[in-house]
Amino acid sequence: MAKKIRKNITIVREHPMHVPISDKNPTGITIRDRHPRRLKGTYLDTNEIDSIFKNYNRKAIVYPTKGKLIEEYKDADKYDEAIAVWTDYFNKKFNAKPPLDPDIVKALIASESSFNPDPLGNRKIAIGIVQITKKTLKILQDTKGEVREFIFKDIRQKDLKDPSISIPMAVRWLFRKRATAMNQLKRAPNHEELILEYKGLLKSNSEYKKTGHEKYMRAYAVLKK
Amino acid sequence: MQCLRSNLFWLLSLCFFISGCQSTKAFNLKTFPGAHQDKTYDLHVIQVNHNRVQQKCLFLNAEAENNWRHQYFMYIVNDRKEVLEIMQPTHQDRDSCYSQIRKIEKILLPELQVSVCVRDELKKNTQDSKSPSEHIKFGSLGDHRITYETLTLDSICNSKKCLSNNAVWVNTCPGFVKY
Repeated sequence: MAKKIRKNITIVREHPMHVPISDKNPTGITIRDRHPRRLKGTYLDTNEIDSIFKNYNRKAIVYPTKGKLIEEYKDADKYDEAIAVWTDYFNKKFNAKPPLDPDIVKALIASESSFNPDPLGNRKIAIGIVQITKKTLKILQDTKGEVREFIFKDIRQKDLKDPSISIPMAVRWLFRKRATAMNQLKRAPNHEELILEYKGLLKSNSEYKKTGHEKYMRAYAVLKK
Repeated sequence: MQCLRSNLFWLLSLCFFISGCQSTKAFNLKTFPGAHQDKTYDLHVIQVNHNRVQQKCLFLNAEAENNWRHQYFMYIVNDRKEVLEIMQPTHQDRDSCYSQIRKIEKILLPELQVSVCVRDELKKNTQDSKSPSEHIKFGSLGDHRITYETLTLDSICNSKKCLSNNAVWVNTCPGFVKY
């Protein structure tokens, strides 16, 4: 029996399409050429993100540790649900073994922004609660790029200030970083190595590598205490 | 008897004069225990002369899309020549980090003393946790090795201005404003 191949992309044949009325298109209808379209379940846009989060089956999903970081950060537990849902979603999507621990995502957020959705002092390069860079945003939406098997669609830079969008993007990126770390180490990375790779420090020869990583390690230790 | 009284008078005058002349200490640290007596959440207020404070932006030299990462550090030397290392917890781009150095300089320079609020447990470095070569230059006060584990910067103030990073936290040090 022939092996069933799952496709990410289908070809849509030429079809009429409604457009705003203009001098060029006075009827408000144009013909769109044959074009590729990604199939549902291989990408996320803002509507999909919203719909999945609202309707996600929360039964038996793993939440990050509650109440440990709240002594220090006032918004520490505010994003627990988003962390739990999206960690579980991508664990299932990529059939992750071992599954990603939601406490890793929570400690990462503590280290990247101290749970501030729009941290001051660095808005030019990295944006939002998980400090996603403009370059990473581009990679995460590139249909031919390194994460082409599952991408994001139509996410703008300003959307990254919304934790409900940037958290799923960061979790997706962590799965990519898990794969790149595995390539470099020739084995599965532990949580510390995974976060070092997320921050671009795994193979860095910086003498401050440990220093740059310290806040994550502290937050993770508090969560696991 | 007259002579004894006179001596006592001069002795008391001298004591009064000395106590009056005694200047504010160049370094003073007061700890305020954190929640549930857990030292992880301790807060510390440091009153320090501005010449005992150094600042640095460390470039983390990360790879690929992360090569923007800089981290702000402040170093304070106490009266026992021990150095406290204080960090800004989140990473910044180069411009933001150096701009923070300039802003803090404007708080440090106009007055002899500043107040610094820092977070986390005050704990001496164990032998192997820091490289022994890590020395910080404090001008005429000499070069000194980092003695304590890294603390987290909350705020720095002189009598007129403050720079704070405490909006995200539950508490701040007594006498400091939370933004």
